[in-house]
Amino acid sequence: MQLLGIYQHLYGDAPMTVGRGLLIAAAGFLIVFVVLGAIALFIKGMGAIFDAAAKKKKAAPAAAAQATEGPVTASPAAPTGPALPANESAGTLTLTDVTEEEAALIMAIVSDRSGIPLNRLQFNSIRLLEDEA
Amino acid sequence: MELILEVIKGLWENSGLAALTWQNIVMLCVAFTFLYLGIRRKFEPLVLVPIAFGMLLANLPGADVMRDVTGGFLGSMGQEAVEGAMWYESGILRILYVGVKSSIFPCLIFLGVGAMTDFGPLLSNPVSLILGAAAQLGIYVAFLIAVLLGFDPAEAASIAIIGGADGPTSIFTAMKLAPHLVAPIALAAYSYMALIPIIQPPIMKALTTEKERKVKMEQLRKVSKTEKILFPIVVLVLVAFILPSAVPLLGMLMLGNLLRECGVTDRLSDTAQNALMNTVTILLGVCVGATANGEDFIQLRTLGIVALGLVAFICSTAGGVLIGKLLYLITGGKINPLIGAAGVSAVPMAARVAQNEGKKYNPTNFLLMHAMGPNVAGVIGSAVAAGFLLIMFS
Repeated sequence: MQLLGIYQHLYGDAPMTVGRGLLIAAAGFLIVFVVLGAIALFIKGMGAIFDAAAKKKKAAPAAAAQATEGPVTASPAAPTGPALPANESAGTLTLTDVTEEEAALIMAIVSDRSGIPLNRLQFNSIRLLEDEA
Repeated sequence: MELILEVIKGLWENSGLAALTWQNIVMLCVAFTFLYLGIRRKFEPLVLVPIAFGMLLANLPGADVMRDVTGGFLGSMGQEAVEGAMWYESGILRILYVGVKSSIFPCLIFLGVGAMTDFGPLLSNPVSLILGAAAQLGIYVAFLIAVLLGFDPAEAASIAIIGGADGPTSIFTAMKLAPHLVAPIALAAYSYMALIPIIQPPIMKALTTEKERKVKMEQLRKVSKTEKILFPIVVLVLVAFILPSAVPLLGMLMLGNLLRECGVTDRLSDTAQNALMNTVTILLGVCVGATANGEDFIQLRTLGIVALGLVAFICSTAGGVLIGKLLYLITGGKINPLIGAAGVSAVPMAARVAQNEGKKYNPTNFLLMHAMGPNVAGVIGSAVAAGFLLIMFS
C-alpha cells in the first residue's frame, strides 16, 4: 500500500499552483482538526466513564452506611458560607517568607487535591517552616 | 630581519583574523546577541545558550568544527571529500550532527518531552485540543506563501512546519522532505521557540481586549491515574491508524509519557526527563547553532526561510488566540483567549508566556495549568500536521 507521496501520485511532477496549494492547506488544517477532535471526543468519553465509575464507587459505601444506620435526617456537612463568584476571593492572607507565586501554587495544589474550588476555600496564612534537620 | 617578517607573515596567514569574513562577523554578532538574551535576559537559556554557542563555534575562523571530510556522508552540503581521510577526522560538531540528520536527536527529545509532560490539564479540559489545532494555522499560511515565492512543494512544507513551533518536528520533517534546508529550518524553529517571550505578547495583546485577558478560568476536573495511563496508548494507536507517518515522533512522545504515568518505570522516566533530555538538548542545540555558518547562512534564500518561519509563528499564535476568542464567546466568557497562544506547542515556554500575560492584567490570575492543555495539544497537533505533509510530499 502506497501511503506516501500523495501529491506526486495525483499530479505527477506538475508544479504546485496556488489553487492546489490552497486545497492542500485547507485539507491539512482540516485533518489536524479532525484528528485532534477525535482525540477530544475520546477524552470526553473516557472522562464520562471514569467520572460515572467514581460516583458509583462513592455512592456504594454511602448507601451501605445508610442501610446499617437507618435514614439520615440531617443534611451532610455543607461548606460554611456561600460560595463566592469564581473570580473573587475573601479575607486577607498573610504570607511569611513565601512569594505570591509560591502561595498561588500552594493554593492551587490544595484546591486540586481536595477537590474544593478555590472560591470555596479560605486561606488565612501561608508560612515557610524552617528545616529542623 | 627577513626571517622575523616571514614568521609574522606566517602567523598572520594562519591566524583566525586573516580568515575572518564579514559574514562570520555578522553571525558572531548574532551569537553574542543570543548569548546576551539567554544569559542576561533569561530567554529560554536551556535552548538559546547552546544554540548561540554552536553559532559562535561555527563562525570562529579556522576552527573547522563543522568540516566534513567525507564529502557529504556526514550531512554537509557542498563540501568536497578529502582523499584518504576517515569520517572521524571531520569536525567534532559535524560528527555529532549525524544525530540531527538521522532524526535520532529529535525523537529522543520527544521521548524526554513526553516524560516531562503532564497530560492532566488536557485530559481535564479536552477543548484544549481545539486550541492546539487552531494554533497550527501558521503552518498552512506559510506553506501557501512559500509556494507563492517559488519554493517547490516539499521545500514549502518543510519551511511551513516552523509554524508548529516545535524544533524536533521541524527537523524531522525537513530531513524527510528537504534535507538541504535542515540547517536554516532548525535554527529558525529553535530561535523562535526561544524568542517566544518577545514574539507572542504583542500579538496576544493586539488580538484580545483587556476584559478577555482578565478572565479567570475555573478549576480543572480531577483526572484519574488510569486515564493518564490509557491516554498515551490509545492516542498513539488512534493517530497511527490515521497518519502512520507521525508515529516516530508521537510514538516517542507517548512512550516517554507512559514511562512517567505507569508508575512502575520511575527510573526510566527519571532518566528520560533529566539525564537523557539534558544531554540531547546540549548536543542538539550546539549542532543546530553550528549550522549557521556565515558563508552558507547569509544568503537571500536562507534569510527568506527564516522570515517565512517568523510569519508562520505569528500566524500560529494568532490562530490560537482567535479560536480562543471564539471559545470565550461560545462559553460565555469562561475561557481566557490568552491560553490559545500556548497552542503553538513550544512546551512549556508558550504556556509560561500565557501565564505571565494573564498575570499582568489580573495579578491573582493563574493560567499556567489551563495553558498547559493547549500547549501539549499543540505538540500532538504539530506532529499530526507534519504527518499530513509527509504523506503528501514524501
